[in-house]
Amino acid sequence: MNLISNKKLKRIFLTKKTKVDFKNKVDLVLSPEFYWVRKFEIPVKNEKEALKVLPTLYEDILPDEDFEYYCLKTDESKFICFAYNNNTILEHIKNSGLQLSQIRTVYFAQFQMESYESFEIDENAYVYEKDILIKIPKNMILDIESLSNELEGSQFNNHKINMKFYSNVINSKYIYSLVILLGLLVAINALRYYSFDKENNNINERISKIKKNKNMPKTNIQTKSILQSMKKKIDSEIELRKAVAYILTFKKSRDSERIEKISFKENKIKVIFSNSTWRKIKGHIEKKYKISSNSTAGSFVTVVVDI
Amino acid sequence: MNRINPLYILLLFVTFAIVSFSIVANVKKEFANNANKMTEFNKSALEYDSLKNVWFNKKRIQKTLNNLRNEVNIKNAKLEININKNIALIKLTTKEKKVINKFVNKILNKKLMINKMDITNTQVVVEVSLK
Repeated sequence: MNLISNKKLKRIFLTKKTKVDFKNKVDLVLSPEFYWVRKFEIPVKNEKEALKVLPTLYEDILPDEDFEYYCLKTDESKFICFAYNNNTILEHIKNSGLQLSQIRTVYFAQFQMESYESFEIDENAYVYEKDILIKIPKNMILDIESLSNELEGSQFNNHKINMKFYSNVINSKYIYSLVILLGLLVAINALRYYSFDKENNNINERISKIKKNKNMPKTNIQTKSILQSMKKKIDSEIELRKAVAYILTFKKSRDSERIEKISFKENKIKVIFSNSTWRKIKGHIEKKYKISSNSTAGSFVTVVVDI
Repeated sequence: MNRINPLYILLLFVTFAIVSFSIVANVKKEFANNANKMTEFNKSALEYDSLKNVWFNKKRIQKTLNNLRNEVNIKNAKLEININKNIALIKLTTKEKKVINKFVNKILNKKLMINKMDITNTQVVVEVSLK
C-alpha cells in the first residue's frame, strides 16, 4: 500500500462544455479551445527571450484582449508557442462546477494527449495535425476514440502553465509597482521612526545627564516645587530689603529726631523712632506699607510694619 | 504565488503604509513634546542652578561673609562672624554712624537669606541662613 496515494487526485480534460461535480483535487488539461498554438522560428537563445517577442508575433492573430504567453524550445531557434486568456480560462473553470481551490496544476492538452492521434471529448473532436493538437468538426473523422473528461493515468510531463488564479481589471505590473512604491514609503517611515526614536532617547539622556550634573531632583514636579519655594523666599527677602530701604528714607525735621533701632524677622519690621510724632511716622510708612501695631513710650514711638 | 491576488498584497502594503504613517506621526508628536520638554527643562535647570548657586550655596555664602572682613573699615569697628552648621551670626560694633550705614548697605545688597537683623546706632546684628 502506498502511503502517498494519488487515488483522490483526478485529471480533467476541460472544454468549454465540461460540467463536473466532485470536490477532490484535480489536475486540469486545457482543450485547444483555450489557447492559440503556433510554431515560430525566433533568433533568440532561450525561452525567456522568446517570450518577450511573442506579443508582437501574435499581434495579427489574437483578438484585442489581454493574453499570457508560454513557449517551449523544440530545436535551434524553433519554438512551440502558446497564447491564452487567463480570465477566459478562469471563467470556464468556474462554469464547469470546479472551485479554484480544487485545482492543483493546469496543463495544455498539446503535450498531454500525445498517446492519441485523434480523440473525442464532450462531443468535440481533436486531432494532431503536423504535431499540433487542434479541434476539428466531429464529422470530419469517422473512426475516432471517444474519451471521458476524467482522463486515465497520471503521467504528466513538466509543461505546466503558470496560471494566475485570480482576475483583475488592473494589470498586475501596475499593482506590483504600487506595492514597491508603498514598500519604499514603509521603509522611509521605518527610517524616520528610527531617527525620531533616537532623538527622543537622546533628549531623555540629556535631561538625565543635566539633572545629575546640577544635582537636581529626579522629577519635574519636585524641581518646580523647589524652584517655587526658592523664588518665594527670594521675593520675600527682596521685598523686606526694599521696605527697610524705604523706612530709612524717613526725613528728619530736627537733629534729635531719628531712628533708634530697626529690626526685622519673619516678614515683620520693627522700627523705634525717637523725638518724632506718630502722625509724621504714619504718614511716611503708610504711603507704601501697612502698620500692624504701634506704641508710644515717652519720646519713643515703636511701629511694627507687615511686609 | 499565482494563487494570491496581487490586490491583496497591495491592500496589505496599503495597510502597512497607513500603520507606518500613524506610528511615525505618534513618534513625531512625542519628539515635538520632548523638544518642548527639553526647552522648558533647560530654562528651569538654568534658573534652578543659578538660584541654588547664588542664594542657597553654603560655600558661596561663607565666602561672601568672609569677604566682609576686607570690605568693612575694621579700624573703627569690631566685626565678629560666627559660622555654624545652619546659620551665620555677624555682629558689627562701632561708634561711627557712617560705618553702620555702609555696612547695612553692603549686607542688604548681598544675596543672602537673612533670618533676622537688628540695626541700632552703634551695632548691627545679622543672622544669615546657611540651609
